[in-house]
Formats: sequence, C-alpha cells, structure tokens
Amino acid sequence: MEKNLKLFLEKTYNTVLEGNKEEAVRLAREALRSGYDPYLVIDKGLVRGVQELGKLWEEGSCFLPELVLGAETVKTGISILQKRILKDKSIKRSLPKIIIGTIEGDIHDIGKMLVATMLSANGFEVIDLGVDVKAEVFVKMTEKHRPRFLCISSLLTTTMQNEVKVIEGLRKTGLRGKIKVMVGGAPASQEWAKEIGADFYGENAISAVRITQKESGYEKKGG
Amino acid sequence: MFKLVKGIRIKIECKEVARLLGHSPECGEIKKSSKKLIREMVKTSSGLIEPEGVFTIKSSRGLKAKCLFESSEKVAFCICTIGKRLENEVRKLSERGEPGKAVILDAIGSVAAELTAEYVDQVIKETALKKGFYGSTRFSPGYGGWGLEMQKLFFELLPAKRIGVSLNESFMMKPRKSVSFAVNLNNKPFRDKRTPCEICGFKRCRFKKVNNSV
Repeated sequence: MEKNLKLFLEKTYNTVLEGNKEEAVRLAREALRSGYDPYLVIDKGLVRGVQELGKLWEEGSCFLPELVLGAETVKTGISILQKRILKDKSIKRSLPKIIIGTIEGDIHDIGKMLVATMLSANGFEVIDLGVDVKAEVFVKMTEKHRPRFLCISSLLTTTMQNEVKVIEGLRKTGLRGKIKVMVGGAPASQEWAKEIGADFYGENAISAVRITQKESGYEKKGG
Repeated sequence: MFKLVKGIRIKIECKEVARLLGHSPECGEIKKSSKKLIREMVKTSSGLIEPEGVFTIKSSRGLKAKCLFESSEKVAFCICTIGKRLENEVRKLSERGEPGKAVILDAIGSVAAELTAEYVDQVIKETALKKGFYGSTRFSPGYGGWGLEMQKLFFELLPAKRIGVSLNESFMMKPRKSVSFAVNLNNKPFRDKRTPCEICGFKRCRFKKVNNSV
C-alpha cells in the first residue's frame, strides 16, 4: 500500500474515533478526487474506526454517545463514497441486507435504532421497520426484500411473546430456512432465542454486528 | 379522590445524563465534544419537558398483590409523566439521521421522568405525614418481581388521562417517559431505607446507583 494512501486511511480512522462528521465529508471527497478505492476507504478507514470504538465500548472505556457519533461519522462518509460505488458497476459489491424492527405492542425505539445505526455503519444495508411492528409485517417484508438477517427487538416481557408469531409466520411461508433470525432487548437471552427457534441472541449493538459479520462472511472481506 | 401535581420544577444534571448513557470512571474524562452536545441537548430539552403527576391514597385492605401491601395500612398509587413532546423530538432526530443527539435526548427524558417521580414521591410522603403516615421506598410494576400486568391496577385507580397517559395491551405506558409507582404507608416509620437500586436484584445492571457513583 502506498504511503499516502496509508496515511489517508489512518486519518480517516482517527476521524471516526473523534466523531468528526465534517472531517469525514472532507476526507470522503478527497478520496474520490484522489481516485482511492471507495471500498478500501470504507473498510480500512471508516469501518475499522467504528470497530475500534465498538471494542472500546465493550471494554467500558468508551462512552455511548461517542460510539454513536462515530457510527454517524462512518455513515456520513459512506453516503458520499457510495455515490461513486453506485455509478461504477465494476466496483459494485452487494452488501448483506438486514431487516430490523421492534415487535408489536412495544414502542421502544432507541435500542433498536442503535443496533440499526451500528449495522449500517459496518456496511450492511439496513431496512428499519420502526416500532410496534406486527408479525405479519416482519414476514411480508422478509418475503419482499429477502434479507440475510431479520433482527427483532423487544424491551418488555409482555411483548417478547409476539416474536414467536414471527418465527411461525416465517415457517408457514417457507422463509425460515432462508434467513437468520436474531432477537435482542433487555428481557431476551440466549435461552429465549433457543426456546422460540431464533438463530441468535444479540446482547447489544456490538454483538449484533459481530454475529452478522461472522455469519455473512463479511468479517473476512471487511478486515 | 386523587390529587394532580402540576408546575413541577426539575433540574437536569449533565452528570446524571452521562451516567445513564453508561459513563463510568473507566471511560475516562468525557470528550469536550460530547460534553458540549449533552449541554446543548439539555438546553433543547427545557422546552420539551412538561412534568406532571397524579396520585391517590387507598386503604391496603382488599388490594390485589397482597404480598406487597400487607405490611402497610394504606398505599399511595401514582402515575407521572414528562409528556410526549420530548419523545416526538427524539423520533424526529432519529429519522433525520442524528442518532447521537437522539440517544442523548432520550437519556435526558429518562432522567427527567425519574426526577418527576422523585418529586411526586416527596409530595406523597409530605401529604401522608400530615395525616401521621410514613412512606416506604417507592416501587414500580416490572421491577423486583412485581409483574408488568400490575399496571392495570394503577389505571383502574387513577384518572391517567388527566395527565395524558394511556396504557397499551402490553401494559406499556404512552408517553414512554412516564413512571408508575406505589408507596406503602404506615403509622410507624419503615425500617428499610434502601433505595430502589439497592433493593433491585438485577446485579449486572450497568445503571445501578451505588455509593460513590457519579
């Protein structure tokens, strides 16, 4: 890797750690002007930065808003680089698609929004269905978008029961074997995921990213 | 009979917002940019918080969940809220692609709801004391083994609509930044002076308030 590019990627990485969105815009434009591979800038600069923040957050040495601002910085940078990616078919790479939503009866949004933000900052295409989402809608949208993962959030013991309906709906429509289902939220657990027939339990936004990356093989490509 | 509590004044401390956002001494000093953003959002929140509450005091005889009320003569039931304006703004920020601000404002809402509950709890205790009753630590449905379905009791006993609060089929209150709680009242002071955090059995809660915390 040439020295200038290496320095540039390091600068991009640090910009994410600082959560500096304005600088991310400037650097993304500079990357396009300099002809750098946008995927390289995303993977080795932006995403590497947010991964480091995620690691620090898990260790307890980074503060939640700093992690979120870092993710926002990545998304800002990606949105500029993506314009070039979409124009040039030769460098197109399909990003794994994820559908996420909070289950019917539950209007908690923040936790789900954080997971969605971290997933998209890590290069996934995220379709956020919002809150209070009926099981039929989860199934219908899965049928329509054919995502790699379906993430269901619930913050209440009373609403997590509705997650069972989603799994049943996926089975009935023959979609269950085609996607991976992850559940998350305060009352969920590994045992709960197993009990209802989900594939994974995502303890927090970072573990959700780790699981989806590992399962989609994106971890290796993304570095 | 019930009592409406309006005109509640609360002061949001940035330190408490940071604590609720998971800041601990291990995180080190909060970055200047984060501090600035928290301050900015606290300022924004002042026009979005409308704290109010409603409470009633009932004889504990005949109340459901006897195990919780049997040691008391009377029980105060309360619902309080900060209104829906703050959470509407959180949603707008989230939709505008500003999750950082949304997360901070949401935490401010939680701090405000808790301060509102503390304020009304104090009003209840002062009201009860005038009649010779002492109050216990407040406790809420969904915590400490008290099922969320007990929310129904609060909504049967209180005119929650008067403060704009409703309950959905999952026993979740709308607006989200609302708190319901009960206080046991007795003619002798309660011995257990522990705070709700000290009583709660959720050991790995990262928001647990312990001595010497921020």
